[in-house]
Amino acid sequence: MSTTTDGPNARKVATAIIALVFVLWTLAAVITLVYWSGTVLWVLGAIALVGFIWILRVYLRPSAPEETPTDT
Amino acid sequence: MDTTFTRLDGAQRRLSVYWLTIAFFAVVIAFGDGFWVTSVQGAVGAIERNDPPFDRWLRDSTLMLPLFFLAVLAAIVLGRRWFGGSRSRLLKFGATALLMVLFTSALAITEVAASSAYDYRLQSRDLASVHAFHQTIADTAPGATTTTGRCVGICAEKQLTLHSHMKALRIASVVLLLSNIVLVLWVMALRSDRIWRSNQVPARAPSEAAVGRGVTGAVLS
Repeated sequence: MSTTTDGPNARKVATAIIALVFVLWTLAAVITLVYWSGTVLWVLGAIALVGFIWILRVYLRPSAPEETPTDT
Repeated sequence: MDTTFTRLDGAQRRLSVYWLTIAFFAVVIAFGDGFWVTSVQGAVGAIERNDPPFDRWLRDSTLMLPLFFLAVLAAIVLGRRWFGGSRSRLLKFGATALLMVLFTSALAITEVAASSAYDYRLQSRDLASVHAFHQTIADTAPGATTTTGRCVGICAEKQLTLHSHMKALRIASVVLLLSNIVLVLWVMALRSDRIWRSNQVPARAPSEAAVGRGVTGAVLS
């Protein structure tokens, strides 16, 4: 027996299945490209990127101005 | 889970593009470019990848299909955002076509480059093993250059292989760009009226507005 909510639910499920297949398929394509071009390059690139972002976050963090000692 | 469904559905509605048109563009370009990727691989590729060319073309092109889909989608969404408001039809569709050619060509060139890199790795390994197999005098450092800095022996062979791949990539880039221009214009000619949905008010809105006006009028009178 069908209810009024069957249509939208079926549509949602169909969209989700298509999206899941698409994501897996895209991942397979990306992994193939990475495998072809050599993983070392990509791993080095990822490490360099993470390192660069870490340096940016750590050294460019806004800090409170230091108080200058006053001679009394 | 339900929010994910709702978000997916919402994103699909928000993009308001003709998915069939995007799929059509993606299939034509992916399989067209796949032909050149297979050709380059057949011309300068490694001997290990010796599957029948038709199978290779079908498999690799199908595998890359979602990436081409995303490239076409990005071109259409950006084209609509940047040039959608233009009155000139030529500018609107010409610029979108140009974006599509650029994005898909960049992707196809990346694919050729990655495939060539894989071929070069296999060929370098083969060269090293053949060199080791046929050499009677032990080479302490195969692939090393001489004292004058010239690359000889296996190093020269690897360099020649690399040069042939680079040359193939340069030629393939030009060919891919030209063939993508032809393919995009061809599909554009077939489906230019169904690229993106207009941002006009949906058809049911006027009736809702009329009901609203009627209610307001009834309340005020």
